[in-house]
Amino acid sequence: MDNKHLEAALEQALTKPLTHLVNLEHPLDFNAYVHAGGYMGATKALKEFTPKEVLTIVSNSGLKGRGGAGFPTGMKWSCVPSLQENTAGHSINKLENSYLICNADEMEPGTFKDRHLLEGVPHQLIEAMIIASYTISANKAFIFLRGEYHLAAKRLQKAIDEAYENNWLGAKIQGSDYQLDLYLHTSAGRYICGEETALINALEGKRANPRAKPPFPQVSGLFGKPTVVNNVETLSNLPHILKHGSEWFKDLSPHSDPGTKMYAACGQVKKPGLWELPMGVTIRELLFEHAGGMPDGVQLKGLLPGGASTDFLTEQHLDTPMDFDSIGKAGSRLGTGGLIVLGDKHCPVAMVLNLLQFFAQESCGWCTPCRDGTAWAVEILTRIEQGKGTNADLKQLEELCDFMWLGKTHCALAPGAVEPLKSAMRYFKADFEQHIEQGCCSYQKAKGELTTSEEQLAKEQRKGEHHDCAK
Amino acid sequence: MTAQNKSSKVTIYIDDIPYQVSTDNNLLAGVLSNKLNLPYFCWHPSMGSVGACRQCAVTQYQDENDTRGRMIMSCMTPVVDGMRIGLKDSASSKFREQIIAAMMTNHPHDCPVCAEGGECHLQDMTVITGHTSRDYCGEKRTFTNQYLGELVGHEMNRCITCYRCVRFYKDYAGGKDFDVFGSRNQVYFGRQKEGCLESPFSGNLVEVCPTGVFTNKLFSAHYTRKWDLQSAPSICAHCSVGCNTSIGERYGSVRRVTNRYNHDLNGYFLCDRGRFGIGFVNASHRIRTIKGINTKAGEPVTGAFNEKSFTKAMLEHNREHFIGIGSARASFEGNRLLKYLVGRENFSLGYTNEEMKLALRHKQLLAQYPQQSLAGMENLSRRGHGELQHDLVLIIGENLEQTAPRLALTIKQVLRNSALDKADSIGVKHWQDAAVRTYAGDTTTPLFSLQAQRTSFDELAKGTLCLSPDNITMMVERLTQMLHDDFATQTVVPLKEQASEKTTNDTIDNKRQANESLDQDSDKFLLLLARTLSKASAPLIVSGLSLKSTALLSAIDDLMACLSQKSHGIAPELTMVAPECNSVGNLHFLSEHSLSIEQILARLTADQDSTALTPKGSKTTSLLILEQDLAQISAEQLNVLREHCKCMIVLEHSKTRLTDIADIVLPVAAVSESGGHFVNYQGRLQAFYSAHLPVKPIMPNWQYLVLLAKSLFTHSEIDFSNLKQLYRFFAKHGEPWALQILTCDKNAQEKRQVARQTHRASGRTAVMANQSVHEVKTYVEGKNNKDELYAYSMEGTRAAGHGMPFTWAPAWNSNQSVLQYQQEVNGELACRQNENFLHLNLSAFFDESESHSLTEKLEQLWPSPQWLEKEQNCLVLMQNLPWFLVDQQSKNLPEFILMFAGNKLSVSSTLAQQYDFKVGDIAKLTLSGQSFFAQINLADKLPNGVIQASIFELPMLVNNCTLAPEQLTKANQAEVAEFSQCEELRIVTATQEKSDILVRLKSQDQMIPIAFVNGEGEQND
Repeated sequence: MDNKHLEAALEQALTKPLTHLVNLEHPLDFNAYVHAGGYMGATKALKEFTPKEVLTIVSNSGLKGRGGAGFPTGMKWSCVPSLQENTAGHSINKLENSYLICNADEMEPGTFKDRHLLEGVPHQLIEAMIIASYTISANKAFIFLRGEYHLAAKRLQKAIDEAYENNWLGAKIQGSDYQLDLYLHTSAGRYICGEETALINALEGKRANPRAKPPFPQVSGLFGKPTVVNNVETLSNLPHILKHGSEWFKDLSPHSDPGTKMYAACGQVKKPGLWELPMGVTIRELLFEHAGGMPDGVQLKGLLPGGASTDFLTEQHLDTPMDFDSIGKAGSRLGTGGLIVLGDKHCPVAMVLNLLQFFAQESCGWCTPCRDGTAWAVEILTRIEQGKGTNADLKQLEELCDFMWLGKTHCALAPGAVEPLKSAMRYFKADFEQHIEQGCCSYQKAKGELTTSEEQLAKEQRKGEHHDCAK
Repeated sequence: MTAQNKSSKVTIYIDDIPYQVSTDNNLLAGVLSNKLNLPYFCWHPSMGSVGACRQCAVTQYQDENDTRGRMIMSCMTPVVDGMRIGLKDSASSKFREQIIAAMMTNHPHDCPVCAEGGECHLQDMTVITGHTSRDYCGEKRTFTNQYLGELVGHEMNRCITCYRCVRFYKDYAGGKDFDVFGSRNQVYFGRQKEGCLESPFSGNLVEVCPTGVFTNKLFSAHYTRKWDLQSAPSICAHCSVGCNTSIGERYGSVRRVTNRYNHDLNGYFLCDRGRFGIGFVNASHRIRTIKGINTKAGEPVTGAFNEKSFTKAMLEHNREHFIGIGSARASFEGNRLLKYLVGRENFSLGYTNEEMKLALRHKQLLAQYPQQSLAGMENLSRRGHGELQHDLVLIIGENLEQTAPRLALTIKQVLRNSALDKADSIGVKHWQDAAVRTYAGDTTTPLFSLQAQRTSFDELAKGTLCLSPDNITMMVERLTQMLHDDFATQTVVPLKEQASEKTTNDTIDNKRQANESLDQDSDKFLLLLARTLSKASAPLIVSGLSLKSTALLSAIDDLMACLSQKSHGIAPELTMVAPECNSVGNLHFLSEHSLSIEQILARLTADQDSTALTPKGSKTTSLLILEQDLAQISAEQLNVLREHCKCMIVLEHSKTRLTDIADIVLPVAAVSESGGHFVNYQGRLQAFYSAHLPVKPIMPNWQYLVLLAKSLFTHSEIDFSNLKQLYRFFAKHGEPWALQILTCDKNAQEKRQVARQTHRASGRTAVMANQSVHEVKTYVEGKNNKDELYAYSMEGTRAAGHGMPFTWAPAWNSNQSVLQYQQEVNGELACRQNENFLHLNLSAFFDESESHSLTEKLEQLWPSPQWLEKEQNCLVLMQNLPWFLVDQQSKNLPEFILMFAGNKLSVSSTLAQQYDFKVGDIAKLTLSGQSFFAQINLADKLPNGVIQASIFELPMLVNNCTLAPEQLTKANQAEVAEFSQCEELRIVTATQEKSDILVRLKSQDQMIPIAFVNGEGEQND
């Protein structure tokens, strides 16, 4: 009857698999989700394939983790003892339980893609987690949800209840021998909980400090048991890969990285938002076609391509495809794929200071470079931003960037904080120097924020205080 | 699993120079083992790696051609053959300096007022990294400090967030009331709420902290820099473990005790009783003058000491017949000399008949089952010698945290054996502390706890049972029976079936009691234990003497015999906790001639009876008592003792109830002022040396005994002016222990004497300027002081290894300098002393009169008193004193008294009902005429008829005694009032005493000990 409508829906399902069932107002309940083709992927996985076969399918699809690091999902799973080639899978399985954790602790500034999926189509995640848990032989799975996502928590819990009612969770799922219990855990709220081992510690009720690796969570994770932690978006691809096959998934993108990606843009753009696009659209297309371009009268100064912990890119990088490799070659990271756009009317120093304040605040306090280095950088940036910096401060900042870099810290938080700082100091060096030379922020001056005599006075006073303190 | 791993060394290249490094530990340990200065904070040799501070970064190179390298944290990196690393490269050196710079952003510049100054690991590391100027110009973070009790101070602003404290307190020592809070650069280490730290190991925080966050409050109150301390190697006198300590002194007062590394025993950690208990030597109840000897002028001798007048005074007593009573806390030498002086027929260990039998059983067990060292138990040798590690621990009737806290800490590590095995299974190295703890979770080696009270081990145990002492013995007997059956039939027979077969000599009452308690819990416990035990390959059985039950010891003997039968393939180990620091040394003197208290009493009264017709005062037997307070005997017995002896001479360092009633009290030196040996629970003869000279008339016990040998006795051959002569004397008499000691000494003293002072000791020429303008002599002018190993001077050699008075190495001023003297990290000290074990000879009891069984013989020698028939409702009194009140010597430390929550008596709710006790009521306990008062506590799961006392006035030696029901009553109103007054008074007195001591010690700093100035101090009075 409604052929055209159906075709359009199918087209949507095949090109925008992650979001085609999203309904932010009234997410599909269990029946509606099943009616729309839901739980087909899980049925296929449970009925037609062994865990190892599912692993092969996912490995072949080339799916990479969407949490930021872009690690191949299949490879991550294959480290779980029960999926190791040289072990008799089932005997180990009986011995040691393993766990699946969905990382839904979306705390990266400028990132809101997982929220869209969590609120818009909760059953998709549950289906995905059934597939993943089945593959890694986990009988317990957890959704570690950002505490502030109240609506998502409500909808997920409802979906989980429905899945239990309909035998998609619990014992003997859909008549198979497979059992899975799924728990929703809402985070108490720390950025570091997004780091998988810190997340595991938090879930165990311990301090959210990242763990040293090796051993990796796949070997010794939650409560010391084999554990896989996957991002919401990563997992959400699974039902569709199972349903349509890995070749379909690869064909979704013309670039080296397969599949679609949830891209977002915020900051100085006309139409901030979120779009599911084939992996590898250029920054230019994302910024100017989907996000509507820069606001009138504002020129692009720079942008963070994938959340707060990625390096700035500038105008010259606009034609870079937004996939893991290309963005990497351009000197940044794809991260979460959420653009944060800086226009030329805003001060990059202030933006970096704002970001560093966030990272310093969110440092878990375990390793010295991060704990004391980020706070030190904030101290220096604050002074520079207030116009009280010196050239020695710039040198110190550069040294701090080196001090907190990869390999020197316990986890990736501090290097993530360094990325915007270091790149800002490269691309916007003149702005930093201007702050020091002019003793004030030229952006604030231009906006007339520094013109009143009162504020000049206040500034002088602050300067005086600072000198006192230095003594 | 990897127990068979041979310790293997490989070659690695550090800055292109080859070094031999063990693969058993991480790269950092390898570098440090080669005595290279690589700084670190969060890593601890005993607690392993977590990778937090990032201080030990080095650059790793792929091969010879790799010039860039990659930065790695050496503490988190395993050693691989042929690996190449750089310490001197600019990248890693700069990074290490930056780490210090980052830590300094919040570390205050309060080194001048910091107790850690001069021995601060942070200072040392800062200098090693070359960080010399500060770049940070922001504000520093500040914290509010907490009151953590009387012992440990807290200054959080100094914290560099290395996490060592919480890793020690929580992870290593199992403490629950200390943690880490907050995040970012506001991480806070402390308690959830202010209050006394509960762990008996809290003092280790002082040494574990790399800077001055945790401080020894007693030391800080009367502070001196480490470099100004005069130190001596000592042995802890507060339990039988025999931890090696270093006592630091200045201006005649002891300032502190620190850990002295001993690979076999205490390693890096002490318990708080050992660390803080030393305060007793400064307390006002120390005896500093001779009591009971008058000079010509009729004045007691004070301050100075005149040998001539002393001898003259003592000659008055030389017609008397002396019985000598030695003690388990006096030095081995003192006891030996006393026994020699009075003769073996007149020598007593100060034990009652029951205790004599207990001691003999103890001796028998020790002779039969060699006792492992603490390191042996923790099986540190698993890394080297491929021995089996313990796979089961059974604690029987000994509350370790109370009687031997350091051993309890070791047992906690033994319980990690199965966690380490589990880590092996996925290739996680044992030093990867966080990873092991994560992977192993709550995996522990099976622990079974068969106790008369609840202990801190209960929650770690696979099975616990809380029983009355008699039932504990019965359980051990049953267990042995079950194991016998199991080994015979390959199946463990459940108890209930066994119970019917069992025939014992128990009285009917006992049997009924036994059957009653044979409830389901006990049955389950025994079955599980027997099954686990029969599967274990190296069970560790820990027990002790605190229940004072001879029957228990022989039951344990049977159990060990059953387990040891070779055919079972079980290699059981037994550890017996002895009551005091030299209890095992005392066993050496135990023979069939040794007198019990009862025998002394009998002899004293018999003497009097035989001379009953002669006028009063013709008593001829006198007592010579050495550092013994006979705490276990009743007031009545004490009266008899006093009444019937002619003269009571007590050699003692602190006031006791005996010194109150003695005729003559001779003040002897405490452990810090005298030398000698203690014999620990294993039979290890360990030497302690005086940290400073005592002020006369205080003298070491052997010196007084030498003087008495001339005056009281006719032993002219006893004329020693130093201990070496004493050893030579006894060596000549063919006593092996003396020969052993002489051999050890010979090895140790090859060249010059070892300096007790650091080479930075300040004011050497000026410290005594208020006494004399002449420069102080660096030697004490004694006759044969060249025979002494240590000099009271900054001049002399530095001990490097065993017997270091203090630990210091170039660039390493903190206690971490000990790593510079270990053969490799966690290894033996470089100059190792021969192990010196006392041989315990049992021949006296076994060779003669074979016709008698040992029990009969013992009963003949030291008959049991006629116990009142055990009625069904009689009570058993169990000691439940906190760890700080267990030791008689240190229990009067004001800080310990202030930690005490007050006298408590725990009873079961049934008993409470019976006596109409409510929580908070005051109970009156009458023990042989003496009354004790305590507040009633309700305790669940107390065994039937058992009451647990935590009563300040009731010494630990009074334990497991049977009371008639009427001995426990409710206190009347007057008594309640008196009780609360007493409790209050105790606190008030202790508070006052605490400040008095400080005032006295500080004023003492102004004047110098007389003996020090004048050598032997032969002053005219």
